[in-house]
Amino acid sequence: MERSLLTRAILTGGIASGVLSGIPLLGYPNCCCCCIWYIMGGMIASYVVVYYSPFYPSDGSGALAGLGAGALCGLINSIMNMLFQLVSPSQLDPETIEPFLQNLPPQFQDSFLQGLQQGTSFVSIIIGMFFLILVSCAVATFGGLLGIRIFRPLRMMAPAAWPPPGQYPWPPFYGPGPGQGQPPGPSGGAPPAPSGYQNPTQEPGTSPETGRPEEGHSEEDKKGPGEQGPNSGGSIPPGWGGP
Amino acid sequence: MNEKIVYRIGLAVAVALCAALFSPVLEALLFQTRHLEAMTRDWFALLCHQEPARSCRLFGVFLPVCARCTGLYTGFLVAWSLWRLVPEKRRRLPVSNAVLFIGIAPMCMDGVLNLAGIVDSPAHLRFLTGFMFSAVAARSLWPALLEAVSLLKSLSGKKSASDENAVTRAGPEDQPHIFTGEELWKGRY
Repeated sequence: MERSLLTRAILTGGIASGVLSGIPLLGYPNCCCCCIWYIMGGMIASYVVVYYSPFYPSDGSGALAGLGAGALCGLINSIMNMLFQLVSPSQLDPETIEPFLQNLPPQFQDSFLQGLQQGTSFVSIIIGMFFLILVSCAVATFGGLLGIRIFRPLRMMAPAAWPPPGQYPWPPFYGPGPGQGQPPGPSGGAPPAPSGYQNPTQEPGTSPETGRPEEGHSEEDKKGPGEQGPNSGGSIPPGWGGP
Repeated sequence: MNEKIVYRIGLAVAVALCAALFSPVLEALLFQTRHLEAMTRDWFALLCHQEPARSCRLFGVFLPVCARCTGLYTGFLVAWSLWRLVPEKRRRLPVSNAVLFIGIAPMCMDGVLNLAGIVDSPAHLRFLTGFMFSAVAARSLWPALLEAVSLLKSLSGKKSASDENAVTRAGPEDQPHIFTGEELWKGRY
């Protein structure tokens, strides 16, 4: 897996889930559905890995993308939460703490209320951020693994529905790819793959546009699928599907 | 080396979370105060609904998360601690999709039925479903994290002879063994 693909997956999954978790009402499913947004962040990251990877993505690539997305998501969530607290600080609701005070012996009620006040201190907020990031990393890593297990077979079963490995269109919201000019007009096909990506379906010595052998390349230079490494533009790995 | 790194980091995370979870109980037993019972509620406020009716009480102290989340954290710690007891050859084997489904489905079903208001599960059932979910999750993360560490090392340009076989089950890096859907579903490795 290439570094740029991993970065893209982490950014996509982390920002999407972090923003959703950080908005007060939208983030409530995290509390009632066992950190569902963090799992979704990991699954989004693994979806990007499966969608754009020219080679068969392993469980580890999904887990790694999920881990990064979880860390970013936790960071964004905690920062947004702090900002919302600054704008509209939540006050202690007596109805929320009443069940605890009722069950506490009188000698412990003062220490409980002191603990509530200390919970708003800077150190306590930092500790809370730390635990949030820990949990989001762990949960999103598992989400990434789940995503790989779900999306990978989908791509293998229906390769025609996905872009062929190495011939995926560059997503428009990332801007022009490296080495690319203006994106093609409405009459054009998919923009060419960025220069940093290998096309495993392209045989060596052929033109990337026409697929025909280029001048100066002979049949002897062509090697079989089993004789080339993963980064040398050989054929699609077995079972990975293709056009 | 990868295994030690992954094991220690995972264990540290699990111990830190469980320590924060049970620290109010220890504080009440040892120091007869309740500061941490309130502070830990702030720490876990974004991770759990913390409803007292659905939370566990130990020695009269409410835990800062609900029973299901308590099961999640303790299940992760217990399952992760058992890493060293598993034979080395089986540590790297991925968990089949069927086992993942069996681990995840009870908690998902329990959560959905409770959210819909069809059932009101008791605390011990929530704890058990959460425990099972995180135990299966911890087991499934072992081989994935080993691969992730190898992948990270290869991305950063650091590779050692011992990492050659860490990425896949067998074979050199340029010929990875691809687990087919049938192998994963039937647990054949």
